[in-house]
Amino acid sequence: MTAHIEPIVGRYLHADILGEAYRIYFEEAGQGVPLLCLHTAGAHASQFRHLMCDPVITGRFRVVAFDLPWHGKSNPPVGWERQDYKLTADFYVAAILAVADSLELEKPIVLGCSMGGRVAVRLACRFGDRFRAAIGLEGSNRPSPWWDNSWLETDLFARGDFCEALVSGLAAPTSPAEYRNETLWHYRQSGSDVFKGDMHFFREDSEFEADADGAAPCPLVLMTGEYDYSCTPADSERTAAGIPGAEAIAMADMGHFPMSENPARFREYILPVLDRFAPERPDADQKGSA
Amino acid sequence: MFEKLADVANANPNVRRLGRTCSTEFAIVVDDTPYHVVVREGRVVDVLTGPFKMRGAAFRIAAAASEWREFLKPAPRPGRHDIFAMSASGAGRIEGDMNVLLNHLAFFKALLATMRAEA
Repeated sequence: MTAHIEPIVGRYLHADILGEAYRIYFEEAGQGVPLLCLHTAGAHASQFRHLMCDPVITGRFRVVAFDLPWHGKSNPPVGWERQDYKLTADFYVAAILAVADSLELEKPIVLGCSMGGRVAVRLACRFGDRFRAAIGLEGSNRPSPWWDNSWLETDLFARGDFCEALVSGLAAPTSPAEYRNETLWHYRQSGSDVFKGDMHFFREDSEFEADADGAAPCPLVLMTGEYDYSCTPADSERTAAGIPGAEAIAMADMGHFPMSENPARFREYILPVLDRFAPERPDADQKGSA
Repeated sequence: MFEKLADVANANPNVRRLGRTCSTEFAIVVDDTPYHVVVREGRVVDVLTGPFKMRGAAFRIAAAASEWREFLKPAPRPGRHDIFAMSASGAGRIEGDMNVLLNHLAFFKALLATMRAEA
């Protein structure tokens, strides 16, 4: 019997971010155009596992996903025990650029979801010369809160069962239960107050207005699920309308976590977008393992 | 619309598991009719149909009957598929002591979801 082993390889990268040393876990699969993936708040890079096991993607893309410091298997900084984790826009951008530079990713496509989609807008407009394209899943340029900030003053975010239940409705009811629940498990295991720390960026420090007269210096595509009420398709359309050249795509039967809650459906949406920025598919009929 | 909640929920071991530390009273409001739900350690021990005069409830989840009918479908349309989606879209309202709701959020969501199979 041959063991079923996925092609994903995980390693640890040491990099400085804003002058501090970090040990960062990243996974990768495939060869070709670098595709740098950014997970959602309170989760980790495993959300992108299906993309990394899809030969139609890995045949043309080097798919790289890293756990943001404090998340998953990436460490917090030395001295974490004397501070509360609060993600800022400056740190988030610096971390993404540090990973891209350290791994020598040449003009990667950045593919971020939720807070990763929010930062993709900023990356395209402000650092677009560094990227081939930016794809924001469930991304917009400013918060559209659907729960009260006072919840952040409670101990609720220290509880995995609360973090899971808070986001459970953001996954589409039409997504397969196995993958929807796997996505929610990431929230249950994310670590005390890590999700809360990400909310500082998402709610307080992520608003971004593009220059009124300037096009994004790299292509920006915002792809948003119709079941998402954290970032609605209308939020993404409004954002794209304010950035010359940006495009918004609404995804039917999809929620807030496209790549992990419904990988087969997401594949139908993401492949034509990725095709724009990569060599032709060697075999367009080949099916992935998602 | 929620008259059968006790029978359906109490037959579901996962709902009882999720609510094992929850004892409270809350209201589901359909149009103008409140259903007062009494929960003891994850079991629904009573569902009383209003109207009432000043009966207290920890929190209330209120929506029009048409919105609840959509919510109870196996795959409701966007904005009707979750209590927070109902609140975000304006299809429903959630009012009262949020601590009770949020402390047992997985339980309350699972409790309401049991009615989907009955709708």
